[in-house]
This record gives sequence, C-alpha cells and structure tokens, in this order.
Amino acid sequence: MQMLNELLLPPTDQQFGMLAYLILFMLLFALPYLGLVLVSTLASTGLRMIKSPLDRYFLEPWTGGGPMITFGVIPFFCLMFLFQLYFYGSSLPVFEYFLRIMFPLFGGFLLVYLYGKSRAMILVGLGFVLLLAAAFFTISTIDLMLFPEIWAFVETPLPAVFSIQVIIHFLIFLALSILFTGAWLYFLYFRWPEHRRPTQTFDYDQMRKITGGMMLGGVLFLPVLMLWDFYTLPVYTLTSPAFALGAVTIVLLGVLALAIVGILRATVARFAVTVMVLATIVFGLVLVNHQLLYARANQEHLTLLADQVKKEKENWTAEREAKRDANVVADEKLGEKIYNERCTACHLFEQRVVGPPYNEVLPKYVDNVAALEAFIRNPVKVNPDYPAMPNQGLNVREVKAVSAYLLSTYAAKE
Amino acid sequence: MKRYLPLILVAYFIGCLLLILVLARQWQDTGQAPEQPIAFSHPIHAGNLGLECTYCHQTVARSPQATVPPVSLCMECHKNAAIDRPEVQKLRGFWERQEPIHWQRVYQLPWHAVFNHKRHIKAGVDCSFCHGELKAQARVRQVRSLMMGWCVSCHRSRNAPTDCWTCHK
Ligand code: HEC
Ligand code: HEC
Ligand code: HEC
Ligand code: HEC
Ligand code: HEC
Ligand code: HEC
Repeated sequence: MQMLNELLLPPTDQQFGMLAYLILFMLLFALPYLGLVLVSTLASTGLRMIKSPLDRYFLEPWTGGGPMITFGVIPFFCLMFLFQLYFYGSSLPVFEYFLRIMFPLFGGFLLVYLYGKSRAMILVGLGFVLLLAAAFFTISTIDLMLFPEIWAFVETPLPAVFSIQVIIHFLIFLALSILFTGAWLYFLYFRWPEHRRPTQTFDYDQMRKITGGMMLGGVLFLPVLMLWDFYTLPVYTLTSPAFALGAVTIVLLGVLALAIVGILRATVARFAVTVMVLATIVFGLVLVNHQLLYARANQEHLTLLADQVKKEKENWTAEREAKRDANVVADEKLGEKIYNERCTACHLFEQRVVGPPYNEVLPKYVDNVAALEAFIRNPVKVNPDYPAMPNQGLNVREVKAVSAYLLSTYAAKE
Repeated sequence: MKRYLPLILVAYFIGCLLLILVLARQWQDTGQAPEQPIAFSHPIHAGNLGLECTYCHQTVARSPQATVPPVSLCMECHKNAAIDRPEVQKLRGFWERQEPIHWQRVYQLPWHAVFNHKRHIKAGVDCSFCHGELKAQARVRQVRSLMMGWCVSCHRSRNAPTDCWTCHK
C-alpha cells in the first residue's frame, strides 16, 4: 500500500484533531452494532429460551442488507482511510490490517444474513466465530493508537496482540456488548410499541430474568475491567479527564446496577427506558474515554509530525527565496518586528543582558553589513565573557532586514 | 442475602470508585509530569532562544548520564536576563543561598536496568525519539513507556546488542 501512502498528503495538526473526531464518530456506529450482532448471534445459538424474540427483534430487523451496509460495512471502509491518514509516516501496513478485519467481518455478516433466510443453526454459529475474530482484530488495530512508540518496529502481522491492553479492551468491548444487547432487547421486548409481545407462548418472566442477567453480568464486570485498564495503561496515555470520565462511568454503572436489581425483583417490567438509555450512554462514554487515551498517547507524535511538515515547507520556501536572493531588498519594518520578537530577550542597545549591548558590538559592523549578516545567520563564538549566541534560525530575507534595522537604528542614535 | 443485594452493589461500586480515585492520585504523584521547584521552560530556552540541548545537558554525548545543569550555568544568563520574573527570582534565591535545586526526575529506569546516553547519541538516535519534542512541552513529561519491550524492539531493528547483560548489570 505504498501507493496509497504516497497519494496522501501529510496531515496538519488541525486535521489530526478532525481525524480523531471522525474516527470516534465511526466507532460510535460500528462498535455498538458489531457488539449487538455478535451477542445476539451467540445468544441465538446458546440461549434457546430467548431465541425467538432475539431472532424477531434483532437478527431479523438488524441484519438485513440495509442496516448491515450502513452500520457494518461503510464505517469500516471509512475507518480504513482515516487510519491510513492517522498512521501517516509510520510503516504500519494499515490496509492489510483492515483486510484482516474485513474478511471475517463480511463473512460473518453474510452468514448471519443467510441465517435470516434459511434458519440453519450452523450458519449463525459459524457467523459468530467469524464476527468474534473480526472484533478482536478491530480492537487490536484501533489499540495501535495507544502505542506510537512501537509503530517503527512493528513487523509481524498481528501487532500488539499480546499486549495486555488489547486483551482488556476486548473484554471491555464484550462486557459492553452484553450489557448493551441485554438492555436493548429488554427495552424492545417490553416497550417498543410496534413490536407488541409475540403471540407464541413464551415465558415473560424468563425473558425478564435472562435479559436482566445479561445486563447485570456486564455491569458487574465493567468496573473491574476498567480499573485493570487504568492500572496497566502506559503513563503517557493518561490524563485527568480520562480518570474523571472513568469515575463518571462507574457511577452510571452503579445506577444501572440498581435499576437492574429493580428489574430482577419486580414482577412487572419496568425501567425499560432507563436501562436502555443508560446502557447506550455508557457504551458511548467508554469509547470517548478510549479516544482521550489515544489522543494523549499521540500528542507527542503529532507535534513531531507537524514540525516535520513545517520544516519541509520552510525548506521549500527557502529554496525559492534563495533564487531571488540577489535582489532581496532589506525591509526595515520586518527588521524591527524581528528585533522586538527575537533579539530583545538577550540584547539591548545600552546595556548588557545575555548578550553584549549593541552599542559596543555594532561599530565594527558599520561599514560591513555582510559580516553582520553572516554572524546573525550563523553565530560563532566571539567574546569569552559571554556565552555563545544560539543560532536564531532566520532566513536570508529576515537576516537582511534585521541587520539593516540594527545599523540604521544605531546610526540614528549616534 | 437477597435483601442486602442493593447494599452490596452500592458498596461494590463505591469501592471501585474509590479505587479509581486512588489510581488517579497515584498517577498524579508519580506518572504525570511532576511539578518542578522552578517552572523551567524548555519551549522558551530550547525553542525561542534556540539553545542546543547540549548547552545545558552537557554530558549527554560523552557519558551515560545526561545530567541536569547546575545553577551556575543558569546564572551565566540570569544574572541579567529576565530578572523581573518571579520564577527567575526564585532561581536567584537558590544561587544566593548556594543551594542546589532538587529537580524532580521525569525519566527514571528501575535500579536493575542501565541506560547509556552516549552510545545512543553516537548511534544517531535523536533526543526526540525518546523524549518527544521538548520545545512543545511546557513541563517535561514522560512520553515513552520505558518498558523493556520498547528498548529491545529498537535494539533488534538496529542490530544493537539484546542479551540480558547489556541492560541488566
Ligand atoms: C539567547 C540569547 C540571544 C538572543 C535571542 C540573541 N542573541 Fe545576539 N548574542 C548573544 C550572546 C550571548 C552574544 C555574545 C556572543 C559572543 O560574544 O560569543 C551575542 C552577540 C551578538 C552580536 C555581536 C557579535 C559580535 O561580533 O560580537 C550581534 C550583532 C548579535 N548578537 C545580534 C543578535 C540579533 C540581531 C539577534 C536577534 C535576531 C540576537 N542577537 C539574538 C545572545 C543572544
Ligand atoms: C537552558 C537549559 C536547558 C536546555 C537548553 C535544555 N534543557 Fe532539558 N532540562 C533543563 C533543566 C533545568 C531540566 C530539569 C527541570 C525539568 O525537568 O523541567 C531539564 C530536564 C530535561 C529532561 C527531563 C529529565 C528528567 O528525567 O528529569 C529531559 C528529557 C530534557 N531536559 C531534555 C532536553 C532536550 C531534548 C533538550 C534540547 C531540545 C533540552 N533538554 C534542552 C535544562 C535545559
Ligand atoms: C534511546 C532513548 C533516549 C535518547 C535518544 C535520549 N534519551 Fe535521555 N533518557 C532516556 C532514558 C531511558 C532515561 C532514564 C535514564 C535512567 O533512569 O538512568 C533518560 C534520562 C534523561 C535525562 C535525565 C536523567 C539524566 O540522565 O541525567 C535527561 C536530562 C535526558 N535524558 C536528556 C536527553 C537529551 C538532551 C537527549 C538528546 C541529546 C537524550 N536524553 C536522548 C532515553 C533516551
Ligand atoms: C542562554 C541564556 C540562558 C540560560 C543558560 C538560561 N536562561 Fe532562563 N531565560 C533566558 C532568557 C533570555 C529568558 C527570557 C525569555 C523571554 O523573555 O521570553 C529566560 C527566562 C527564564 C525563566 C522565566 C520563564 C517565564 O516563564 O517567563 C525561567 C524560570 C528561567 N529562564 C529559568 C532558567 C533556569 C532554571 C536555567 C538553568 C537551567 C536557565 N533559565 C538558563 C536565558 C537563559
Ligand atoms: C531508537 C532505538 C533505541 C532505543 C529505543 C533504545 N536503544 Fe539502546 N541502543 C540503540 C543502539 C542503536 C545501540 C548501539 C550503539 C552502539 O552500537 O554503540 C544501543 C546501545 C545500548 C546500550 C549499550 C550497549 C553496549 O554495548 O554497551 C545500552 C546499555 C542500551 N542501549 C540500553 C537501552 C535501554 C535500557 C533502552 C530502553 C530504555 C534502550 N537502550 C532503548 C538503540 C536504541
Ligand atoms: C535493551 C535493554 C534490555 C535488554 C537487552 C533486556 N532488558 Fe530486561 N528490562 C529492561 C528495562 C528498561 C526494564 C525495566 C522495565 C520496566 O520498568 O518494566 C527491564 C525489566 C526486566 C525485568 C523486570 C520486569 C518487571 O516487570 O519489572 C526482568 C525480569 C527482565 N528485564 C529480564 C530480562 C532478561 C531475562 C533479559 C535477557 C533475555 C533482558 N531483561 C534483556 C531492559 C532490557
């Protein structure tokens, strides 16, 4: 995919901010949907009791061609291009990582879709396995954003798979998916006006208990997983907002847990809207939290990249300027500006600061502008009483301008 | 048991909440960019003023340690420069009392691992590869994990030694 890399321009830091938002946006679509399909295919094979409502409420309406393409296929293509930009300049084979995701993903979706038509159990079981693999590859690819320090060294096809973070994040994803699916199933089953209760005999009580159990399992595991995550994350990924958001998520999970206990104890269905809304918010919050970690982890990388882009641009303009060098006119206005911004920290005319007072050093340059320009362009050690002057990194035009300004100001003072 | 379930749950979540606050606290004390006795700024000195890293970290290319400069080096300039700033006045306080400044370490390997700056600088590894862009860090913060896996994967890709004795003495 060298070609793709060459087509892309290096992004600027504002564009990187944008990229992070777009990636988050796509993940907010893709991951809950993937989780939903994953858990309902599993439950559809494993939990015979709720098979018919599951098929009816989830697998049938949500695994049609339309939703699959909208939530399952398009976001992954977008993510592929976003990541290609995000990992600009690294040697990561992003395209290949996404191929590795997309084969099992689309295969899994296809099988689940066919199951909707034919009802053969083998299809949905196999679909589950493929989707699980796709989810794992997805998490491990996204988590590469946590480890900019290893991008330069990644050669193996499954990068960072053995990192503890990927495993924790995968478990978090599974727990979230179970919670999310349970909450939506409960909500759709008992509240959604269009789906009135199915006519075939089915024990409502059992439905309530099973979905309640799913939710409670997810809710109880999540805080432990989150703590484990915070405990093992590399220091350079953490920020105060990440911790704060983590704490808020745990509080929400606590509220959710109490509502679920309420659900399990009641004889009638209640709190359906509450748990659905809370479970959805929690899913979103966790994804946002991970995005905060990624942003912090890459802050340094992005600064360096922005620097590099700036340098390339400067070289390019310097080259162009060098061509016009001969007929550069000294612009004293610019000189004054540079003087005030860059030189006054260390120099004054009358008085020693870090460097010598100009009144002492300029006399020898009065008839020799070229020497002054040469010194400013590339300072050398002159006077042992002073430290060396650091190179100010000015270009030819700026050096000419500031030299002219210094000499004319000096002449005016005389 | 069933009656107390809500109570148990509340206790569980409060426990988790407290633990996360403890982790946050611990991170603030050790992991985050530590507060320094003087708000020294790399963006000003290495960025605006354009000083070389070796101007202050003088031994970085010559010895295993990079070393943080003594107060006397700061005073080469700060006898005169920016003396109206409160932070610089603090610096002059240290100078007048002849007291060394106890900078908080940011990058620190555990005792059993050794590191050698000189060898890396000689091999052409840029400071920013391990420390990030200091010109943009108002306060120095740790930007690499310094985990063994990181050191070793670079050593492997650069054909540097990877046997245990290289780094564990
Ligand atoms: C970080 C502080 C610093 C900054 C910023 C700085 N200088 Fe200097 N400058 C010095 C020092 C220190 C010396 C003395 C060098 C020596 O004697 O070796 C010096 C010396 C000079 C000299 C005298 C050279 C000689 O032949 O004795 C000139 C002229 C000069 N600087 C111009 C400038 C101009 C123009 C700027 C702004 C673009 C500037 N300096 C910015 C620190 C600085
Ligand atoms: C004007 C002197 C000066 C210059 C120039 C300078 N530093 Fe520093 N540096 C310091 C001081 C003082 C400290 C200790 C205070 C702190 O951590 O902020 C420090 C701390 C550091 C630390 C953290 C050390 C630790 O683990 O505690 C690193 C890394 C570092 N500098 C790298 C650099 C790099 C890279 C450059 C060149 C871009 C540079 N420095 C330029 C003075 C300087
Ligand atoms: C290969 C990675 C690497 C490179 C390159 C590197 N450092 Fe370091 N630096 C470290 C590590 C690791 C430590 C912690 C060392 C320890 O705990 O013994 C450290 C510590 C420091 C410290 C504080 C401790 C000390 O040694 O006094 C300073 C200051 C520092 N580095 C400056 C620099 C500067 C300046 C450069 C560039 C000239 C640089 N480093 C290049 C990895 C690196
Ligand atoms: C080459 C000369 C030079 C050296 C060496 C130097 N400084 Fe400075 N420093 C300056 C100048 C010039 C300024 C004022 C910059 C400005 O006006 O923005 C400054 C500003 C500061 C400030 C004020 C920053 C602010 O927030 O306004 C502090 C604090 C400071 N220096 C601390 C130190 C310490 C500590 C050291 C020693 C490790 C040191 N400096 C070494 C030239 C130097
Ligand atoms: C950017 C890549 C890179 C990273 C990251 C890196 N090193 Fe190195 N290191 C090198 C290279 C290249 C050499 C070989 C230098 C030579 O041949 O002299 C080296 C040499 C060394 C040596 C000296 C070996 C000898 O022969 O005595 C030690 C010790 C060392 N590294 C420790 C570490 C530790 C500890 C870390 C992690 C904190 C680390 N390095 C991270 C590239 C790296
Ligand atoms: C390139 C340098 C390097 C080499 C080579 C290296 N290590 Fe390490 N090792 C480190 C660093 C740095 C740490 C500290 C990392 C940390 O804080 O977890 C470490 C930590 C460890 C630890 C403690 C782990 C922990 O969690 O505290 C063990 C055990 C260890 N190394 C064993 C080995 C063995 C065995 C080998 C030889 C196969 C080896 N190391 C080779 C750099 C190295």
